[in-house]
Amino acid sequence: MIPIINKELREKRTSLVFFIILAIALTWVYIVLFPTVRDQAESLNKMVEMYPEALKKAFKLEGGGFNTIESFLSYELFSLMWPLLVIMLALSRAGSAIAGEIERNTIGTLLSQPISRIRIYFSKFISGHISIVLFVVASILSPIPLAWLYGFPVHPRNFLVTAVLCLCFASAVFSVGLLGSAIASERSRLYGVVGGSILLMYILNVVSGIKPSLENLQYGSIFHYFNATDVLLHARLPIGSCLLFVGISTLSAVIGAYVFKGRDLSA
Amino acid sequence: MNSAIELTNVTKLYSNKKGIKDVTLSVPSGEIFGFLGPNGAGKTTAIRTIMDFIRPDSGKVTLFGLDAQKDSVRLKQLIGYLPADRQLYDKWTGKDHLSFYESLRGKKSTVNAAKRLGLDLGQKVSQLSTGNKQKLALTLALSGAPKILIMDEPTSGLDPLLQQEIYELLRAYKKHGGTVFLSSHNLPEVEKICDRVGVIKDGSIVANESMQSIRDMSIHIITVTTDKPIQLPKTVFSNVEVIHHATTHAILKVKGDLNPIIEHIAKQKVRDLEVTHASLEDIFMEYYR
Repeated sequence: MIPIINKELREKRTSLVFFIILAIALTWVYIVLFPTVRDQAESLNKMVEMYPEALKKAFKLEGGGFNTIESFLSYELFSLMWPLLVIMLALSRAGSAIAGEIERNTIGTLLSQPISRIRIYFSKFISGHISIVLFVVASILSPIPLAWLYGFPVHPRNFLVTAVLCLCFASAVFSVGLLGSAIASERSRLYGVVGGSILLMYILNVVSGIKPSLENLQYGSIFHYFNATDVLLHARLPIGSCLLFVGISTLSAVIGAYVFKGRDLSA
Repeated sequence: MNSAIELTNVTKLYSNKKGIKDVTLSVPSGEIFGFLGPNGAGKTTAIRTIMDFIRPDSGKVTLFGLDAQKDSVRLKQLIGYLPADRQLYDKWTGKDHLSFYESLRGKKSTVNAAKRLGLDLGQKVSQLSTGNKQKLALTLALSGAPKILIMDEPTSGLDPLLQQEIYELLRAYKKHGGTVFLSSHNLPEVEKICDRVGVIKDGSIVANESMQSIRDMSIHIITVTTDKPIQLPKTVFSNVEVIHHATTHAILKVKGDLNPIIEHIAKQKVRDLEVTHASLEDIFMEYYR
């Protein structure tokens, strides 16, 4: 498995570095902006307070404020930008892992070697997770040294706990993506189906927050269980959400390996 | 002689009903086996089934007595595979490919085909010509010292010099006890290097013969020129096919006994008559039809 893991990491290192730099740069921009925002925290907090409850709930703008680095980043980074980045990273990794090899006609190179399909699948699974861990650690923990650099008070534990939840979330997205990659033979189909489903879940979560009659729809959305803003503010790890994400990840990995083992691959 | 590859009643049909049907085929060890057939006949499907890339709907595939599916990992140690479309990583060099193969196989390459073929392993695949990509693919197929080489149209699109190099390499490989299963469109190539041929048409095997028995097949070409318009009673001779017919000139293909048609021609005033053995291409075309 090691050679395939190495191959995957080597092939994807440039894009991984790009994603990490992008996430850190984004965080850096927010940290540089923080003093200006903090100076106007009172008026901004009042403005958020005036938002309809449903809207605040939908966009996870509850319970925080613009007074601390954690609450500022929870609003600005973790409500949309970070999930978007990690979903893009996870799906691009998953897509190129199997469907990409089929598209490029290189899957036969792997299949013609003395390694089982199950091992090929889990090599891809592990290498994808290594990329995700590196991205999550770099992007979630980068605010700590950056805040210190600018002399802002920061609570490292909040970021560490958030990193755990984010890791579970990213793992679930990647594993579902890899399952899709094992089924599809084209990346575009995978991105369309899995990406579209994730977008739909995001919309469901927002709509269920805005419209009380559709409140139950939130339980069908992965974003309902991914409340990084709350975790970053209070450093309370939602064990249930983490277990759900780990469960999705494990189940997807098992089904994906089974599908990949049994399917025809026209290499 | 033991069989290197055995396909027993293998059927694999795609949704468009194309594929292979009830294919039974045996490839003896230590031979070069040519697998012939027109486009879409099922050659690549058969190869993918042997390689366990696709799974048959029914039937059994074994290599060296091992099941192609259940013993796939063990068998891949024994197989060198050269696909039709040179499945290489564009951003990698030849060395990268070779060390990747070595690490997956857990052993160093013992055959240095690259040196023999004059291939620079330091170049990226994206910078290689078609011929050099094929050299690399062949080097990789041979790198694990396989007992059998499975090749899908190995010389397709290559210049004659490189084709000759590859033939030499395959002959040397066979001399050392290796078995080769190669699909090809190139009939002279098959004639040159193969010991046995299988012909597939519309997904079914229509011939599986030694090269010698194919050569011994009695097919003749008769070229006749007469003074007066030539009479050719097509329906009388079922073993005669008219390839060309002008007023006083005809080319006929005769399968089997020549005497009846010669007797018929002799009744006419013949100016010129030539009887030759049919080429292997003509013989193969018989199967293709």
